[in-house]
Amino acid sequence: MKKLWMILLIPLLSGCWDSHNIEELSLVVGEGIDKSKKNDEIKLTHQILVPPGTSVQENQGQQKYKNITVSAKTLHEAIRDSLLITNTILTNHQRILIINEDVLKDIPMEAIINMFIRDNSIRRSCLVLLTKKPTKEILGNSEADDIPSNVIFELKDNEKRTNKILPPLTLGQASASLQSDGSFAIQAVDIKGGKLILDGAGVIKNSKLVGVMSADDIASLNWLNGTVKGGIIEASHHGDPFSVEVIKRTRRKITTELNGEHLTINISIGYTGRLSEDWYTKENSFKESYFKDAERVTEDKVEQDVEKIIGKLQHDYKTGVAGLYRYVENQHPKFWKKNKKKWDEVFSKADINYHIDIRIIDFGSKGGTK
Amino acid sequence: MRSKTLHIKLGQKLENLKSLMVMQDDVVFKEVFIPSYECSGLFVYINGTMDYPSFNEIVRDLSVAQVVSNHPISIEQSVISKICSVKEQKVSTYEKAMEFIFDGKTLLFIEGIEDGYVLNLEKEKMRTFGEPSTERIVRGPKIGFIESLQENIGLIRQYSSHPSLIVKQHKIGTLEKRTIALIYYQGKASDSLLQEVNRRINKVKATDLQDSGMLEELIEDTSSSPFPQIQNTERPDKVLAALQQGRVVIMIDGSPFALIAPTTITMLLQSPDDYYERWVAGSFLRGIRYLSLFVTVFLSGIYISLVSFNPGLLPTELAMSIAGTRENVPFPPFVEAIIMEVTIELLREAGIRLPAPIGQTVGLVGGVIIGQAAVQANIVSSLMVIIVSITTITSFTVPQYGFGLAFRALRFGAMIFAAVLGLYGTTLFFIIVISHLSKLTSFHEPYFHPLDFIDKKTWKDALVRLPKRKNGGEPS
Repeated sequence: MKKLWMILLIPLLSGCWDSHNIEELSLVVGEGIDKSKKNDEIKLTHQILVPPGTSVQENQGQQKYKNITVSAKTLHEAIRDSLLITNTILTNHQRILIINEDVLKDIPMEAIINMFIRDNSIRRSCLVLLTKKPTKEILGNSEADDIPSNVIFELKDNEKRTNKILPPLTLGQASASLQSDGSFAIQAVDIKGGKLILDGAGVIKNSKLVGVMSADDIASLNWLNGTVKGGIIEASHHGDPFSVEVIKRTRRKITTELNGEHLTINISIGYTGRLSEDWYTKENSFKESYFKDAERVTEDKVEQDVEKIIGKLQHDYKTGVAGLYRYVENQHPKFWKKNKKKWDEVFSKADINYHIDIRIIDFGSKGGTK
Repeated sequence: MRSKTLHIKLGQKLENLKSLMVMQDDVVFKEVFIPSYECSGLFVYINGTMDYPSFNEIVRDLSVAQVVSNHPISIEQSVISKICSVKEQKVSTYEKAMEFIFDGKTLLFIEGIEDGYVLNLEKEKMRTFGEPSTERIVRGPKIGFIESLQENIGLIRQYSSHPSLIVKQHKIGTLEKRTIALIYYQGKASDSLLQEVNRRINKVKATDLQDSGMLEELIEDTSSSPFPQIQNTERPDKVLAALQQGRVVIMIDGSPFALIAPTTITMLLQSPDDYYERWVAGSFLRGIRYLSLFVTVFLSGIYISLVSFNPGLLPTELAMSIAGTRENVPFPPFVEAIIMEVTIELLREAGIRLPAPIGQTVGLVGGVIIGQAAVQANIVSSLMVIIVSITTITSFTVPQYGFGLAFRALRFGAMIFAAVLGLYGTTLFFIIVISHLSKLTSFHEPYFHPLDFIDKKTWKDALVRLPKRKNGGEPS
C-alpha cells in the first residue's frame, strides 16, 4: 500500500507542466513578412483566429480574426515580441506564409524561411506565397467575415480546374528546392477590385527573386512541366474561337542528350481533352478529320506558348525553374556532378525540344449544326 | 437436552420441543387424532413454509384410516403408507428434529412411536421464469434463471438431455448452509480445471452467500483487478454454450446468476444474438462493441489531452469551435470533465436506486437541467456534454454489466493520466491497461486468450463472427 501511494504521488512531481488550454492560445493561420521602415528590421504579421462566441448576438459584428504586426531583426524575436500583445502563439495550424517581394529582393529566401523550417510546430505543408502588396493589406482584406488566410488556402484547390495556378509550393518543398538547385517559381497573390486573387508568380534563383511571371506564363510553365491538371486551351480555327478542356495527362517522357558539353532536352507529353466550346457555326464533330484539325491547332497553340516560356526562362531569368535538372542528374550523373555549380548557365544554352500530343476524346452533348 | 433422543410419550415430546423453541413464535404445533387406532399425532412446522392443500390431504388420509380386520397392521405401517409420498426420513433426536423444522420441513410424531417422520410439505416461494433483465437480446430465447437452484438446474436439464452433463451439489457456508451446484460436461471440462474449482470452493469459509457475486469474489484469481474474471449470466443459453466449450458452471441457491469459469475477455464482449443473427450483422455489432469500449475509456482522456496539451492535432475549424465553447468556462478541461462524468455517474446510480414510477424524473433532471443549464451557466462547455453523453452511451453497449462497470471506473484513470501527461499519458494508460489484461488469468487460463495471437483459429472468432455453414455448424 505504501508503494502504491508513492507511485500515485509521482505525477505530482511533474504536475501538468505542458498543459496549456486551447482558449488561452492564439491560433495562427497565416503569417506575412514585410520590410520594416526601420533599417534591417523585418515586419511580421500574424493572422490570429478569434474564437466565435457562444450566442448569436455575440457573433454579430465580431471579426473572426485579428492581425498583429511586430517588427524585429529576426523572425523568432518578432514572434516573441508579439507575446507582449497577445496570448501564446500556436503555429500548428498555420496554413500560409506570405512574403513581400521587397523582402526577397534583399534577403535570401533561405534566411526568411529558416526559422519556419527549424521550428517543429509549423507544418511543412504550410503554403508559401509571394505578393507585391504589403502582406498586412493582403491579410487584412476580407469580405463577408471571411478569413483571408483561409480564402487564399482554399483557392489552391482550384488547381484541378485551371492551369493558371502553380502546383502548391509548401514550406517543405521550398526548403528542399533551396537545398538542391535553388530555383523555382512561387505563386503570387494580389488584390484586384477589393478581392484576393492568385495572380502570376515569382521566379526564385539562388534564393533571390529575379523576376515575375504573369498568370498566362504560369499556364505555359505548367504545360512545359506537364503539371497541368485541368483548365482550358483557347485556340481558333476557321476564324472562330474554340476551347478544349484538359481531361488528364496520358504520357510524359523527358530524355536528355549530351553532345560534348551541349545539352539537349526532349520533352514529349500527351494529354486527352474535351471539346468544350466551339463558336464555328459549321462545326461537325462527328467527323474524324474535324477533330484532327482541332487537335493540331491546340497542339500548335500550346507549343507556341511553351516556346515563349522557354525563351523567357533561358534568356530573361536564366534559370531552370522547371525542375528539369533532375532528369540530367539521373541520366548523366557525371555531367551533372561536373556542372552542378553552373547549371543555370548550362540550362540557358541547352536546346529544349517540346512536343505535345493532344487527343480530343469527347465533345459533349452537341456535335454539329444542321 | 438438545442431543437427547426423543421421548416416547407424545405429551412429553410436545413439552420438550416447546421449551426448546420457546422464543420461536412462528413454530406451529398441531395435534391430530387418528380415530381407528385411537391415538393422536402431532405436526410441527414453521408457519408460512407449509403447502396447506397437501397438508390437508394427509390429515384427511390419516383420520379416515381403517383397521382392516383380516390383515391387522400396526399403526406405524399404516401411517408410513399414508405419508410415503412426502416422507423423507426419520429423526430420533431433538437436535435433528429442530434442524429439520427450521429447514422448512414438517415433522410428524405419533403417540407410541419414538421416532418422528420428516415430511416435505415445503412450498417453495419463487417468482416465475421471465426475461433476463440484465442481458436483453432481440432474437433468441427469452428465458432467464430465477432464485431457485433446483428450478434452474431443471431448466438446464430441459435443454440438455445428454447423460454426460454432470450436476454436483453440495452445501457451503458456515452459518447458513446453501446448496451450490457444479455443472460441467464430463470429458469436455478438463480434470485440472475441475480440481482447481473444487479446491477453491472448498476453501470458502463465508458465513453466508446471498448471491453468486459473493462466491465469485472468493474464488477468482486476482481480486484486486477491476475486471471480472468469472462471467456471470442469467441466460441458460449462455450457460449451455459455455458448458459445451468445456467450461464449468457454478450456481448457488438463491441467486439467478450462474458463474462461468474460466472466462476470457472476448466472452464478456460477445452477446448470444451475435450467433442468432446473420453473420454480417453479428460481426458488425461485435466490431461496434469493441469500438465503443475504447471510446468509453479514452474519449474524455483524448479530449482533455487535445484541448490542453496538443491543440495542434485538432483540425483548425474544430480547434476554433472548441476554443469558442470553452471561452467562458472557468475550469480547466480536466475539472470540467470530472464534473460532468461524476454527474453522469450519479444520475446513473440514482436511476438504479429510484423506484420505477419516478425513474423518469432522473432522465428529465439529467437531460434538461444538467445538459442545458450547465452549459448556459458556463460551468461546462457544450462539447464536454457531448463527449460525456457519448461515453455514457457507449458504456451501455458492453453485454456484461460488471465488465462495463470496470471500464466506467477506468475512464477516470485515463482522464487523470491525460490531465497530467497529455496524449503521452493517455497512451501510457492504454499500455498499462493492456499489460494488466494480458497478465490476468481466470482459473489459470489467460484472460486475453483468444487475442494473444498465438492460436490463430480461435482468434478469428474473437473479433468477427464468421459464417458457420461451411462445416455444417460443427464447432471448429
